[in-house]
Amino acid sequence: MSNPIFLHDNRFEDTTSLTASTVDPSDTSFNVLNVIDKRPYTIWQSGTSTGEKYITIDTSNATASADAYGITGHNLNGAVIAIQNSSDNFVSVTTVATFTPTNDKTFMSTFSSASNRYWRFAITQPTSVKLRIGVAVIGNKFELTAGEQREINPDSHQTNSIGADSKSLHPLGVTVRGRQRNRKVNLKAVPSTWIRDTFIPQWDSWMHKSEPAFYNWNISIASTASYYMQVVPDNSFESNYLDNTDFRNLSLSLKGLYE
Amino acid sequence: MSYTTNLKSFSRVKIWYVELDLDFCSNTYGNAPCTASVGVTGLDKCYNTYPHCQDTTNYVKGVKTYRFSSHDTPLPFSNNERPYIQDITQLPTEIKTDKFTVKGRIKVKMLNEPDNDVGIDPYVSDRSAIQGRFWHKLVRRNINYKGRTIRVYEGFSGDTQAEYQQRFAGTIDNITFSNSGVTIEGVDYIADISKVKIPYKYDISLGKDILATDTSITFSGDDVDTLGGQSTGKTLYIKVNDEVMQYQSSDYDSTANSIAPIIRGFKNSKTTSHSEDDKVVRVAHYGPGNAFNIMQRMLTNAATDDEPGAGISTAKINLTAFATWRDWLGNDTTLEIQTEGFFPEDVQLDEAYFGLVSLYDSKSWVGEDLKITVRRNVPNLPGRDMATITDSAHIALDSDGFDMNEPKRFTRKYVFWNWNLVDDDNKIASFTRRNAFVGAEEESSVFYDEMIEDTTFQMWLSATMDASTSVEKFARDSVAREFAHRRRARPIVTFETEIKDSTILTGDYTYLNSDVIENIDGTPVRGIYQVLKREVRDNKIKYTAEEQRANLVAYITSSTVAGAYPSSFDTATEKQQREGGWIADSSNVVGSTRQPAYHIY
Repeated sequence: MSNPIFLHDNRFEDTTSLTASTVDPSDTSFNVLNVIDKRPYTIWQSGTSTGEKYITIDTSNATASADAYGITGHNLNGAVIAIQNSSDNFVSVTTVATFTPTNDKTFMSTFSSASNRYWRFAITQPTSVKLRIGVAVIGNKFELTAGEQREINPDSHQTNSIGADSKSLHPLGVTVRGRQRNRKVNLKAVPSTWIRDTFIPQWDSWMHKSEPAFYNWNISIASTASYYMQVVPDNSFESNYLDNTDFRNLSLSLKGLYE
Repeated sequence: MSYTTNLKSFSRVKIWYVELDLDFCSNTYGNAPCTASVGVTGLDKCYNTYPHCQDTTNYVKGVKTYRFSSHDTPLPFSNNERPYIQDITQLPTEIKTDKFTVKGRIKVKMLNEPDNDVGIDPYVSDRSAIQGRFWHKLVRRNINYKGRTIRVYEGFSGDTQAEYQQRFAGTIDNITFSNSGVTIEGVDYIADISKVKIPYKYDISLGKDILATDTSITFSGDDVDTLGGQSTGKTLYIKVNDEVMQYQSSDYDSTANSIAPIIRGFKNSKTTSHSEDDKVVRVAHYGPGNAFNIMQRMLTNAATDDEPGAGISTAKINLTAFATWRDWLGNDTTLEIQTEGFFPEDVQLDEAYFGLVSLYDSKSWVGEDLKITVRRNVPNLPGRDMATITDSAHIALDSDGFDMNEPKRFTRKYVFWNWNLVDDDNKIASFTRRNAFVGAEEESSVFYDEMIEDTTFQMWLSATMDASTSVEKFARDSVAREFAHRRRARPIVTFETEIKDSTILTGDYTYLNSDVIENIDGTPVRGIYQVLKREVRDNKIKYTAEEQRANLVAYITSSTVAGAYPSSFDTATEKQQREGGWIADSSNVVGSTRQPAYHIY
């Protein structure tokens, strides 16, 4: 059983040398930089609808490492996606993972940690459509030290809608607005040293700012249950010591789009 | 799934989608022909907008479209639309009898968030630092946003972009900021007709003194050549002091700036001498012709036209509606009467327009399709589908009410017409004809026991515009129809429906079967109501509708069509009862259920 993982760290943000092999010229807003802005609704779109496409970063660091990848806000259903690295700008290529999405929902996966200067997604689309990606990440996962508490509800979400009834109380119709995942991540009795030395640096770096990240509560038994989530804004850090121990509980409230 | 299918679905995701077109230079900074250079023409690169252009000589105005969608729904198209729209409020479409409801106005409230300028700033990679919020930056870079295009669409998740329904198209009027976001106000393209005055003010005056007997007149002024009119063969009119004169356009001599011959003392105005430099007014003259054609020209013609108008694009006019009612009682040549109007003094165009609309027992308003439309006050019409509104299937809980609409009632109606074109158009003495209807029963002590007058000075009716007997009859019938509708209070009902019933539009006639208002025996009302106001409220539509006369218009159809109609009113379907006509009995009712008799229009 795996522990919950977050994927926030992103090699694509290491330098300003992020490039795409093709960009749709029909609108200047389809810039490849959209894939690192953490907003799934601003997208990179390929300029052509056939052939292999690349999103590439030169990290200028020969030991730039990664062990996970994730994409959201995309239309890659059926595309063949390869995660590759190289020391010589892909004259020689090492493929560390491949993946073929079966829908257009958020996905995340892990691979054995590897290091190299150049990293890229190499994507071959199955049909003649321009590729579209909202957020793309290749980086190092952040794994919690323990699994979520039992009796979790991994599918917890809320539907925002408004209905109307007639004078005779017949339901007339419902206007749905959106669906939102709500997730309360509870860890019980984790070592306080892990909280202090591992978790709090992550919290201070990006979690408390509610920056979104890919999240999976147990990738070994729920590999398709990866979501793009954030710690709810206006949050508080909840981690109390257990009485007379060196262990603490940890509670995180997450939210994200229900796709 | 199509928009219509989604609308009728029990549950669907409703999405707003907005596009803004702002200016964007087609050049690239520093690339020919742009001569801008960092350190020379500015400290940093521009944002491809004119207010910050460093080489305005070579600025090339292009357009960049910014896209937005509802903040709390899925993205409709994933085409870089930003989910910023929090709320959209649109002034309701509403029928008023004296003016177009509104110059269409819309408010779009949007979220404002920190933005990294990707896709917005063409030179974002060249900046040393990126900061600030989306709207703050966009507005500062586009301070000339006023007058740029805004388009608002409504659709449902799963609809293609082509299926989205356009709810507004106009220009940005203002953008305001608050703690919770930004509000964009748009106004529609329809010119404010109330701001147009007729006749057009030309710079024309008498070139020299004239005597009461002169039939050749010389003119001067910057606009003197407009005296020839827009085409030959037209009869035109001018007014000098209190005298109206008539002439043919072909009799204007553009070399001598003179007209000869000219008919003096038109419409019995007093023929007198006038002095050099006296002001000359080109009388706004409409017709003679079909009133609905004239109405349309008043909207579409230019202000400087011989028949001056508001200059509204025909794309903003429901041409089908004008053509339908133009031909309803005969085509353009077999009219009820030849309509003609003279406007020698300052009049607001909407006052003249709605005077004509009212004369023809009609209403005109800006419809939900953003087009100006017109409709006669005819509650029943062959071929017209009429939605039935019921308590069980349509009217939302706790949403209904009614008002007896007392202020609209009157007990006697006066219409004064045949204006002399010279004296005050709001004084009885200026008109020589009158039609009057008095509701003696309503004024009696056993009924309302009061007298309420309603007086109209009708500038569109003159004894000379058609055969005198025809005009008399038309005037009498026109007043009679209005009097019949207003002599007793006509209740106004209000109710809300779910958006599935939003296809009922302003001006539509509906069949109301509801206890929103009850008959004298306590049974729910069943009758025809016309929608006067339609307000979009989130997942509901609020309707305001007025009761129509119970006496339907009788239609006589050809024998082949009539064969499908039963001889008995009782066995006719409700639709047939609305589309035909049956003879009333001596009590002036039809059928065993004693329905009110039909009337001849």
